[in-house]
Amino acid sequence: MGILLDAETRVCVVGITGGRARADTERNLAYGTRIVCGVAPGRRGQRVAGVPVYDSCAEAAADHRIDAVIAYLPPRVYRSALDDILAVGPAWVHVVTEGIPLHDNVAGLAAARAAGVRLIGPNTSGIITPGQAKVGFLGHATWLMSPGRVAVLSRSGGFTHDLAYLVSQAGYGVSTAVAIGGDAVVGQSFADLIELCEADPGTDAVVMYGEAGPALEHQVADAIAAGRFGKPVVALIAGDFLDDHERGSVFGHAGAFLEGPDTRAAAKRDVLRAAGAYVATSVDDIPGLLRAAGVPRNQQ
Amino acid sequence: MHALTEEALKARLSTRRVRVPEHAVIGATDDVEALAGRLPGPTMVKALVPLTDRARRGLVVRAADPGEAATAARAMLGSTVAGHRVDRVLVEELAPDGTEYYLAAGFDYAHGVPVLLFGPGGSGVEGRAAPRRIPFAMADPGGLAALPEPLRPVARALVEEFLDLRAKLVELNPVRVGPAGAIVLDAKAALDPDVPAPAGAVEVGVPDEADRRLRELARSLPGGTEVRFGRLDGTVGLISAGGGVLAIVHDALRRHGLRPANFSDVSGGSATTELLGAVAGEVLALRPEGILIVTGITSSISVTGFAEAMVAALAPLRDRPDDERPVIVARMAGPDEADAARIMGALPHCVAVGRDTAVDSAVALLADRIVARRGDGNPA
Repeated sequence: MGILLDAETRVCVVGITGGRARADTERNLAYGTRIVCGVAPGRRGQRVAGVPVYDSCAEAAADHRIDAVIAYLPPRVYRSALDDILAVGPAWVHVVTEGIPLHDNVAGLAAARAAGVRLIGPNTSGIITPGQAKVGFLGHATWLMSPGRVAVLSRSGGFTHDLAYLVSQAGYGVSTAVAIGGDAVVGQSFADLIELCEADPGTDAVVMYGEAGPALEHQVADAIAAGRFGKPVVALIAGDFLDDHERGSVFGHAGAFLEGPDTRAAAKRDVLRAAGAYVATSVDDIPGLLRAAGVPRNQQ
Repeated sequence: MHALTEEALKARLSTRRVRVPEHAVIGATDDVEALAGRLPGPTMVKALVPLTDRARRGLVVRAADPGEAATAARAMLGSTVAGHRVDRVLVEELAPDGTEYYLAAGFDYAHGVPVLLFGPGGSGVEGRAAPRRIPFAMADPGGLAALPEPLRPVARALVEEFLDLRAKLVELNPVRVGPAGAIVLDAKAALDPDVPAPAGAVEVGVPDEADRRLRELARSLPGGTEVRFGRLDGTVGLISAGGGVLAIVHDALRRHGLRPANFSDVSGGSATTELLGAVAGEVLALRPEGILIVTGITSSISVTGFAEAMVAALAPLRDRPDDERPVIVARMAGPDEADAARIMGALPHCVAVGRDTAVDSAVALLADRIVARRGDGNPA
């Protein structure tokens, strides 16, 4: 079990002929991911690691059922390529691309919402359901996490590895790990994903890593308080150091108006704690908090 | 990151029929008296630098007449405030009294939608209740009917500018509404670094020479690796592979009463190791009392290659007297971390740990060693 991705999920890789995508595809196929097709305009008929390549998602969808898309898109073609992806109606699209202009990012999110497609990212590293499937470049070091029943949701793609390793070493294992993206605006929020975790019988708890900035954690607190999430949440929120520095030299206060009610790491921790989440002060606290929450360790 | 300064944005707004005060822009080599004399009445004199709180910094001054305006302008020109040199000042006529409003267009980051912000304006806006948020669709901005009538054309122009510039935020504060209509007294735009900057944009922040050198090196190398570096005011040098652990590291330093001497982020591409070596050289030049070398758990770089680069870059430490050598903790996490630890052993006062030491525990170890070193000179 797990959320979003399992061994049966049929994945299309958009931008599959690029260096990063090609390398990830080879490793993810070897891991067991069911990558059924790829897209790269002008490359129809080629194969990458045996995966057939099409000019567009529309063309690929004529030959393959596509459940999900992992997208490596140059920022300049992001919007048009995303429209092509959304038109074939995958359950989700995971956008690896970094450096997408904010206006294009927000317009893309609006288009995804209108199409009923979950957009994860942009600027993220991937999803892994250990032992079943992975996309992107999350979990290439396959030794670092074991299958289990704790979901890991993280703002940082790189730090997802550290969290997954810690959770695995502590004897819990990971149901699914998702890097939600590091941009100021991201598609699927923590709150969106914990609701999937609530519905997943293979997930007993969530470990989440957030940072000071846009107030995504307040939505988690709201979901817990409203009873939409009843499993334990262990949260680590970093970014206290920002309190020591002057905020952006141009738009300090207006930026704060736009980021949300109180975007300091300490305020986020307070909100989560008040809602009933287990709040870690440091990385090392996490295993103890999972124990305190009564989360069962792996029986495997 | 770039921003548009006040006069550049006001010039753009003027082309959209938004009223702004009569003004003159004076540069360091201009005839200050002649330009100030074009505006015969009382004026405001403002330094054109991308800083908040210009009034608090003495960079916005009211002048009773052209003579006072010229004096104020001369005092500002050539000065340096918070690292920004004042090369130009704006002198503009005082606007008639009226009600002041705050108007901005930006994004609600948590919900990923564009919003118009509207509320009482003027100085100290941050101390008041948060302005009202009016979401709008980028394809068809609406919602302007909720605003007072004289503000609607200004808000329309604001949204058009926001969309044209593809800006992160455009802010007008205050917009003063009097009997003659609305007039924009101050305006700023924060631009998206992922969008080409328009004409008239200025760089925000003080350029860092080390950052410039490293970026040039990154551009000269194949592989598309990106690097950022900045000098901070502490004594712990940071060399980090990947940005994911940065916030954890900085917070952990803070908990242990330490402050970083720099920030650095090397990520992506295939020239990571070479750039990390260059970062180490810059850190060494800061003469920190401690150095933290850290990777998250990753398979994207070889930590033995990373360790070799660190040993090469930090080799000059061997030539320093022992009491001038920083204590070093290297947290290198990867399948080859044991080999990396062996390599790092070539550096004086270096302890290497691997993935079973969490990032903030590595910081704790460094803090303990720094405290011991301060106490009796022995970091062991």
